[in-house]
Amino acid sequence: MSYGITSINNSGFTQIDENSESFLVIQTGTKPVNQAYVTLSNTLPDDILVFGRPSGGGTSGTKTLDGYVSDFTTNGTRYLRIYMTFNVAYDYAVVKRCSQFVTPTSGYGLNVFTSSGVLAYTSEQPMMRAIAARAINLTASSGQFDSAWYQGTAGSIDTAFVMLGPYATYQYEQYAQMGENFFRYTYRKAKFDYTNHTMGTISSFSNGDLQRGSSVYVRTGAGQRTEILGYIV
Amino acid sequence: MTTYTHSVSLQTSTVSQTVTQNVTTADTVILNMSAYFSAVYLSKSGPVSYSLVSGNSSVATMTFTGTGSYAITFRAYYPPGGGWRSVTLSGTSSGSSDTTPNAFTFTDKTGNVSTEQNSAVQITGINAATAVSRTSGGATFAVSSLPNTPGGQGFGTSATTITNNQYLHVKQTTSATYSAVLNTVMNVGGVTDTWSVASNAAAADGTPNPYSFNDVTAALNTVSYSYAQITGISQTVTASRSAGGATFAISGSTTVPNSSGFSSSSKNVSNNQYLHVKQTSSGSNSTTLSSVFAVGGVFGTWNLTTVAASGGSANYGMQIFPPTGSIPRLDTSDRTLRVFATFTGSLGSASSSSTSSTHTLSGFNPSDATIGLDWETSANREFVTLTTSTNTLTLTRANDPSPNTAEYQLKVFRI
Repeated sequence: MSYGITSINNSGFTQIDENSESFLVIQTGTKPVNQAYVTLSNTLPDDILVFGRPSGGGTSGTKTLDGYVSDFTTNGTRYLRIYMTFNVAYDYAVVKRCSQFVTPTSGYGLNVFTSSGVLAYTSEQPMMRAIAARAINLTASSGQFDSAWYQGTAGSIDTAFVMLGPYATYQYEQYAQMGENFFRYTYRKAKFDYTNHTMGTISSFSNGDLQRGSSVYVRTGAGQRTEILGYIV
Repeated sequence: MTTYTHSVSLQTSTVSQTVTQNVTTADTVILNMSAYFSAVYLSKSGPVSYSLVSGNSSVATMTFTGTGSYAITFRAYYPPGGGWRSVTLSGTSSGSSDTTPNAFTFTDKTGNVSTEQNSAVQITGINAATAVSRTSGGATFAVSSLPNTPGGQGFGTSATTITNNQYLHVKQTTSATYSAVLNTVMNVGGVTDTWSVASNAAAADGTPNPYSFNDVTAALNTVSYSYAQITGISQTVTASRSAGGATFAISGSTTVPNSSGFSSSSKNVSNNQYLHVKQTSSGSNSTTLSSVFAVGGVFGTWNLTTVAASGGSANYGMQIFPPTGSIPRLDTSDRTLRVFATFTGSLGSASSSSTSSTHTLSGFNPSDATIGLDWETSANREFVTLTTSTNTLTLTRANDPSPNTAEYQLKVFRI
C-alpha cells in the first residue's frame, strides 16, 4: 500500500481502505404512527440504503417491522418515499455513499480518500455499523423465515436498525380450494425480540376472495438479498 | 387362423348326425369319420369346399371361400343297420381374420447390474398372422413356437409377424447402475405391454466419506456457523455430537437452517445432506471451542476460535471518536458497509413477455457472504426476480399486468 490507510477489525473484516467508499448516514427521522410513508428529498441519490427500527428501539417485548423504499418519477417529478407499517411509529436512517458528501473541512477527525481522489470515509458523519448480516435466496418454495437468526447478548439489539429491502412483499398467490378461488399475499417482517435479544424474520399474510374460476398461479419476488442488523454511531 | 377338429362315428343306429362349427375364412375344419365302409360326399351349400380321404377312417378337410351360412353332408353305408348313416357339418363363416390378440403380460425381471434377463408370452386369440414390433425401449425380441428362449441369433429389433399360440420372447441386459429400471414396450397386433427390467439396489452403505468443517475465527461472543456435506452413504445414518458444545442441524442446502433446527440431540442424515454447526464464540481472546460429531461412525471436528487480544501480534482496527461523546464512531470490532457497485435502470412492460436487465460486476460472487445485496423497484415486487452468478446480476420482470415501465435501484456492497 503506497497511499491511504486500511483499517481491519478484530475479526479480519476491512473497515476502511483506500479502494472503496463507506456508506455513511445522511439523515435520520421518525415516521409517525398512522402515516403510511415519509417523503425524502428528491435530490438524494438513487442508490441510498434505508434502515428502520421500531421507534426508540426497546429493551423488552417483541415488535415487528416491514417497509420499503419507493423511488419513481411521474410527469417529470421524482418521488422518494419510505413506506412502513401504517399504524406503528418507526425510526429510519438514510445511508448514502461517502463520495456523495461534501468533504468536511472542520479541521478535526479523519478524512480518507481513494486513489482517485474520491472521499472514501469521513469521521464527520455517523456510520451504519453492521452487527450481523445474513445472505438469503428467496424462492417460490422458501421465504427464508427464521424467527431468531441473530441471537445476541443483553442490550445488543436495543438500538439496532435493519435494512428495509428484504422486509416487504415476498409472494402473491391465486389458488382454488373446495371450488372457490382466493388470493393470498405473503410478507416478510423483521422481528425484534428485545426480551431475548434476538432478531429474526417472520411471515404474515393477507387473504381475500376471487371470482370463481380465476386463474391459479404463484408470483414470487425471488432472488438473492441480504438482511443486515446494525446501529448508528 | 384356427383349425377345428371333430370326430364322428357312422357305425351307429343314428341315421343322421349334425356338427355345428362357426368359422372365419382363415379357419380349417377337419372331420374324422369312422365307418364300415368309406364315407362319401353327399351334398353341400354355401361358401365351403372340401377334400376327402376315404377309408374305414375317412377324413374330410373343409376350407371356406366366403361369408355366410354353409352346410356339407357325408354318408357311409352301415350293414348292421341295413342303411345309410350321414353327418352334416354346418355353421356360419364370418369371413374376417382376427389379428388382435388377447392381452398379454411379460413377467418383469430384476437382476444384478449388467446381467441378461429374458421373458416370454404366448400369443393367443388370433386367427391370422399379426405384426410384432417394439414401440420403445432397448430390449431385443424373437418369435418362436417354443416357450424356451431361442438362441442369441434369433433376437433382433426388426418388426416381424406372429401366429396364434406362438411365443414372443424378449431379452434385455440390466443397467450398469444400481436401482435403474429399463422399460420396453412391445406391440402385437395393436396390443401392448411394457416389460420392465430393473437392476438391484447397491448394497447398503452406512459409512460416509470423510468430511470436514471449515474452522472459524470470530470476534468474542459471536454466533458462528459452519457446515460439512455428508456423502458416500446409501442409507440414512445417525449424526450425533460426541464432544463439545456446538449445536447442529441437518438440511439439504448450504443455507444456514432456521435457529429452531439447531440442537444437540441426534438426528438422521441422508446422502448429500449438510450437517450445519453453530456456536457462540468464547468471551475470551485466543480461545478455541472444539466440537466433535459422529456420522455413521465417521468423526469430524469443528474448531471455533476467538481472535487474539488487542495489542498482540495482530495489528488491526482503530478507534475514531466524534467531536462529542465517548462512543467511538469507528471501533475495532465494527463491520462497515462499503460500496461495491450500484446500478439503476428501468424494466419495460412485462404483461405478455418478460423483460430483464443484466449488469456485469467483476469480482462479484453470489456465494461470498461478505458481499451484500439490496434492490428496490417501482414495480410490485412479486413480479421481479434477481438472479445472480459469478460477475453477473440480472433483474427480470415477468407476468406483471401493469403497462408502466418500472424503475429499479440495485445496490451491491461489502460488509
